[in-house]
Amino acid sequence: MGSPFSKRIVVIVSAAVLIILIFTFLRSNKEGFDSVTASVESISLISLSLVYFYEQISKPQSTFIYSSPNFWIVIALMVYMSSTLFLFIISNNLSVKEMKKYWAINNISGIIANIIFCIAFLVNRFVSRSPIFEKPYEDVLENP
Amino acid sequence: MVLLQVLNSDNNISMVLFFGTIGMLALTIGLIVFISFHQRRVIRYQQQLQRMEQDQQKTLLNASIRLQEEERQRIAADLHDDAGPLLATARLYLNENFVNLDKTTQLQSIYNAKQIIDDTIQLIRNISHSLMPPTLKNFGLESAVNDLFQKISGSGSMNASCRFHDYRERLKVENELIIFRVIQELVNNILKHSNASFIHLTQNTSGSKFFIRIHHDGRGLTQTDFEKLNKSNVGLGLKNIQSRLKVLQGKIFFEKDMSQTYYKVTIELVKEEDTTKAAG
Repeated sequence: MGSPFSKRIVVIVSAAVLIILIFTFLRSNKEGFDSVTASVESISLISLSLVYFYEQISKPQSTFIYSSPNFWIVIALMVYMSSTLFLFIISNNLSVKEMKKYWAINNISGIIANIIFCIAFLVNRFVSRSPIFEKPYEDVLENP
Repeated sequence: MVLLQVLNSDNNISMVLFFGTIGMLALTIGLIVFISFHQRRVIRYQQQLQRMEQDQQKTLLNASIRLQEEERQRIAADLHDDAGPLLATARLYLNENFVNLDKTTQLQSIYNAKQIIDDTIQLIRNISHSLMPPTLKNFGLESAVNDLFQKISGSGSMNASCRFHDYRERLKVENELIIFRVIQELVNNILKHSNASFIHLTQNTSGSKFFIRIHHDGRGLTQTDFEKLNKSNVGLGLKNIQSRLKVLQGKIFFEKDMSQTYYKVTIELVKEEDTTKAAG
């Protein structure tokens, strides 16, 4: 996170979300799926991802964005959260049978998100193996 | 199949869920694709700019190297063609047979050899002065430019004058040398190409800026001509001016006078004291 403005936004949003989550959790009946908490979490994570993208666009960079693992992690989160957002929002209005039927959406997006997480790890490994990050060989041999 | 199932079912919630999810997903993917492409384009553009900058640097560097080589060749030619034969002739007068000659011939030979050696000394002095004008080193830019302009005026074909309005303290010697070389190159160009009948140089300061303006009434350059020549393969001298001024972080403008009759060249520099202050 670069500019102080976006830093402040991230801190404020995170604090607000945490307070809302704790508050709703304490007030909920603690049975079944908690729609409000999950939706708030989704929306907040999507907005934070948008802040990340905004930052990436606004500051000039010399490396391609898709060579950074952070980018893939944010994509994974965003894909998962945006595809399950509507499911979480209306899950309170679904019957148990319908819920079982549509829960596949959650599972599929979970799998996709995990695949993208894998890409993030692979990218990380690839980047750290590029010559710039490699340690130069020592001039002195330790065991001659 | 899922789509059919959703469309067939009367359940409004299913519709909302289906289209909402698809819509959100499409938006997300669209956003991600847009960002990656946008960033890629920006980086490509930056790289292109960088490459252009590097090319420009390379041309300037090449020009200065070539100019240096030419200068060396000129010095070598001067020494070889002028000083060499003179000294060889002097040696001829002072050969081994010299002692066997009669007194008058001996005296004549010595006199001739002395004359030739004097000429050689003068020649070498001229060469060394053209390499590094002693007035510039000892008395500063004003005197050196005055000297140069007096020499031009002395030839009679052109009226050259200069006036320094605000030159109370000298700049750094190496900077003065660079400025002098730039002025020399510009004046040289005017003499060679412009067919002008007068050159007038004025110096001024304004705040932390140091200005030198040269006016002449011949055929001159405008800024667009200068930039065009700078990018092309010709115009070695201009490229040299550019690379010299780059060292001083100075600027140069070529323009036509308001009355459209004179050409004007302005060199703008930042005074050294101020740059050090700014850096400090």
